[in-house]
Amino acid sequence: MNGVAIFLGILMGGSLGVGVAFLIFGSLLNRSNNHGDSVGENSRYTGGIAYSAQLDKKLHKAESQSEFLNTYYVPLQSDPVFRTPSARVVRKMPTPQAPVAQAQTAPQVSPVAVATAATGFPSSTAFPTAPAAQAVQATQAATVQAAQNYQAAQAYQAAQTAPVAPAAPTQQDYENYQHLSD
Amino acid sequence: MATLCKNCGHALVFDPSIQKVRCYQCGSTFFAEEVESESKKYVQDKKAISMAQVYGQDVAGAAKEYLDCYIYTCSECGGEVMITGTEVSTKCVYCGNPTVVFSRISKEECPEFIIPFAITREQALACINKEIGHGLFVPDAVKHFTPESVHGIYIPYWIVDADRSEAAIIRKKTSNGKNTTITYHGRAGRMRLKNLPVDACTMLSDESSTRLEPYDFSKMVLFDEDYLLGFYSNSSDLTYGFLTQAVDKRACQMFDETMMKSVKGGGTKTVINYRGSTAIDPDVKYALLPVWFVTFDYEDKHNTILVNGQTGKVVCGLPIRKVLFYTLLTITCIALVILFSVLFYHIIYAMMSSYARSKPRRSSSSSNNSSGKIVVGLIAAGVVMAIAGVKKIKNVIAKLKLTQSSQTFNFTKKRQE
Repeated sequence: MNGVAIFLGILMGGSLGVGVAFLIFGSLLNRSNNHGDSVGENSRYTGGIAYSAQLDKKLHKAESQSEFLNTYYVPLQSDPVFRTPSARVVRKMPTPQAPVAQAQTAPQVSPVAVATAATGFPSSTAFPTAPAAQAVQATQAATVQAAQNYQAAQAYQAAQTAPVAPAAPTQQDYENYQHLSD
Repeated sequence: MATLCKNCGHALVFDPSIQKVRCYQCGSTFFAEEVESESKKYVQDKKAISMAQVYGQDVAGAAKEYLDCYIYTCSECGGEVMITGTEVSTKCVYCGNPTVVFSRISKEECPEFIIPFAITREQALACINKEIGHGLFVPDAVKHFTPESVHGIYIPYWIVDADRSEAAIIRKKTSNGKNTTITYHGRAGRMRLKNLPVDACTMLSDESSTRLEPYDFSKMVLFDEDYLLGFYSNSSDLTYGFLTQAVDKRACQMFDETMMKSVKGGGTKTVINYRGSTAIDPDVKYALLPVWFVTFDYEDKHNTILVNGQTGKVVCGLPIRKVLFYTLLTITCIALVILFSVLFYHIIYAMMSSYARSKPRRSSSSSNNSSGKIVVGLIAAGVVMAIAGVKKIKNVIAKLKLTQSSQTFNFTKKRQE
């Protein structure tokens, strides 16, 4: 019994003694030799996160996790903040480059509204499962359609505003010309 | 070129203690906005010429460390002023006059804002002495160091507003003795970032510049080149690609930290999967922020201490008195191990004795279990504390490496005195 007590005493005392000593001296050294080791606090730059979804259950499976990401990330992306014109260039930068990858040019139908309308789920804390996938598909389809419409409109507008250049003669023109000259 | 005093013609220098430009010859003081250099219009198009153009490829090639240098002519004495690729203001090595390279802050690259130095050179040194003077493990030679150079440098920053949107899965791991519970939490949302400073000078490490924060942006004023007089400064050399990367990284970090706090309860929390993006507002502000760089040598190594030129915050990792530290650590370790071992021996012995006495009367499998849990818990606590202590020691060593990094030293050293 005595031997067991000694063994356990050394084991517990050793681990705790070494742990406490390292913690004390690590803190002392940090206070003594490391200065200014703090970055700007988050609260200085942000008022916090506006959550659109918080879910603490039903996320054990990989599929449900990826479904959660897809369901709630897409509506966030469609927010007007992420739809600034592609010509966004920060002024005076040494090398103006491509804008933020997420910037969208196309006007979009609000996928949140589409998702809500299609599923009946609000875009907040509830976690939709199967119907949400349909909502996402509907959202994506609506977004793609809107983008296509926008591109078509842009092309039409460009065609209208572009200076009119003489069109190259076609085969039909040539034949007409031949006919007339005959 | 220098801006000259209206009264005596001597070069003006910005004095942080009175927030005005001062003539040290006649004592006149002026607000920076009041002073307009007469010769600015004649020299603002005058550009620095690369060293290779002036001395030829051979000389430039021979002195590799000066390859990024340019030659600028001092408008006061005609002397050659050597500057690096992004320097905006410096001092002429011959006449000592403050020199501003106007072509580098011409209209298209002109900073919009500046936080003028509020801490003087003497105050910066006093801040350092106050901060490091009481360090138990700081060598005496470092406590009473003689600065090799003290440079006040305006660092270019981009002040960014941005939106971060992210959906993430957080894994929380909680241990309770033998049992480990893992739970998964989903979070999605958006975060608005205001006035996030991003260091726009690639020569200075982001880690150093981030630690200089916070700056008080309410004290930011419209840029005027007269604030640069008597100080060194650099212009931005950060491309838009790097800016977006830097903002994205910082925003992601801030978002994750805040998000993990929303998951209630203790345990180890990790973001295991996420989808996110950061959109930067178009109206990015370009500002110059003040930093004092104080260099000194210790055991043949260059050390650079940084001081926030507005708040006086000192940023450095200092050399360690290793013999003292490791000796004290070892002695304390041994003493605590003996103390705890004896203490636990007596506790365990007493517990076992009482258990042996009470054994014939009652079955105590639950008591055994709880004792086992206590033993395992105490050992685990010891290990956790030891790991935390080692992490702190490693952190100090990492910050010391940053203070002794050649990158920071070269950034401040390659300037004309």
